[in-house]
Amino acid sequence: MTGSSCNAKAEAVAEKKISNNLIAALGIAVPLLGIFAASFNSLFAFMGGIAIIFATLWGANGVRTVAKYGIGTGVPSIGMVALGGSVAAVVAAAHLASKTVLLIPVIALILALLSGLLIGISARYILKMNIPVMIRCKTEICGAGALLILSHVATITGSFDLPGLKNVSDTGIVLFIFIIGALGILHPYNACLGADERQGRTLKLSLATGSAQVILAGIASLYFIGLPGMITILFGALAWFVTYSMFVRTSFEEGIVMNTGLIPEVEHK
Amino acid sequence: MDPITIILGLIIAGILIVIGVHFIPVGGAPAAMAMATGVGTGTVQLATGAGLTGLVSAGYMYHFANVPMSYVLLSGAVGSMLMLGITMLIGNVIYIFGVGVPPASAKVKFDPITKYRQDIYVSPGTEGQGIPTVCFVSGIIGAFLGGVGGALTYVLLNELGLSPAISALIAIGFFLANAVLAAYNIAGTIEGFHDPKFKRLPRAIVSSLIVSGFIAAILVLAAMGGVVL
Repeated sequence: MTGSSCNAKAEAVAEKKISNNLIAALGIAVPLLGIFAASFNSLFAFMGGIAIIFATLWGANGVRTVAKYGIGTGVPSIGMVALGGSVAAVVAAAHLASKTVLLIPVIALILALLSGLLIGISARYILKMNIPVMIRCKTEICGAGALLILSHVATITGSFDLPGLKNVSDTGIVLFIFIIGALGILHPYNACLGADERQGRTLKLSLATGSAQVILAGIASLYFIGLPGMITILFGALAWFVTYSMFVRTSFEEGIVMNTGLIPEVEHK
Repeated sequence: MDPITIILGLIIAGILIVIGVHFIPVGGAPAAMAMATGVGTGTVQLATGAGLTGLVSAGYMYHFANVPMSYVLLSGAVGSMLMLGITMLIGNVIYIFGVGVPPASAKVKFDPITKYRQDIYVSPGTEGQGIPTVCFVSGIIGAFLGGVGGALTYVLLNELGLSPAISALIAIGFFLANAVLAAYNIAGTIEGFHDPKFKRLPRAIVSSLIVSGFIAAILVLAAMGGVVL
């Protein structure tokens, strides 16, 4: 009886799947709006935090989709390329559009998508990896990486133009953006992978890793924008608490204890 | 420096990184359980660790020592070689004295360098264990090439007029993108230049050519083309 109800439950949770297109749309629109809002006034810097969370969500969903095929190189190598392939795009966009600042995120996104597309095409057709979603996912992951870097820069310095980028790189904060951004994207699937991995649970963890990044970005932003950085920290802490407890609750609900009969009942008492 | 030289230099740097990664003995998760030859971590982590150390030593030479460019590249290579050499040495200490396995390669019957017999020391059901001499030497060669590639990227980006911090940032990204392409070509584990998978190298070079070329082109366009929009 327990077994059948468990199966029914597992099927019920497996049915709910958010489409990749919806996540991609959210992952583009929300970070772009968040980046613009964060640069509007330092009081709105926490809006960049929302951008960080959704960019992480998009990237983590891309990692999840492609890593399910079992590439054999480990999930981290898929996540690291997100920032590796997109950082040049961000810097190039910041140089190219330094007169029309509002265009920087859009151009960075386009250039990052292009470099992701090239990495995907090389992996699929030249390195001959037989993974059909490779091109789409590499493109998505690089795009998410570019938006994630810009979201961090916008949250931390309150601007996303070339001086803002120079500020974070000259202080060395950009290295921490690089590592926590990549970890935020690669960790959710790396932690949840397995036979019973489910999109909903992985994405809940990605929301939590995104929120944890917001806390760190908020701490870093105290140096640049001062007291309004506290709003970012508080927002990040609240978001982390909510999303992480959501994830833990889901894990408890879906982690089913199966009594196989191998362990005698005496030991439980 | 003129733009074409910088684009060509960046492409050469990318190709050097990709070739270097193929030389590094990567064991992945099986090696972490002493069930395959190589260091027990992923390709990208291992290559990045070595590459970034090379970047630090090359950056120091470039900015604080008044020496020709070849010295800068060599110091990057030495930094990488030191880092990877220490990693492999400590890995071997743990494999030999901690796990208790003799370093042996399952891909060749005799070690090409020491001529020692390998197959009788390989535990049944495994792909070899530890880091035998040939893998160690191969790893050092790989770190040399990767270090030169990383240092060359950094120097060229500096010559392009980007600030040192941003150059270092892009050099890391460039290194990672190329290391990932090599990792996909290797698909898991490789022992070094004597591994049959090493013959796949040309594919990785072509893909690196495309990706590095694109990244180099947008960077040169941005830094030298000036403000477009």
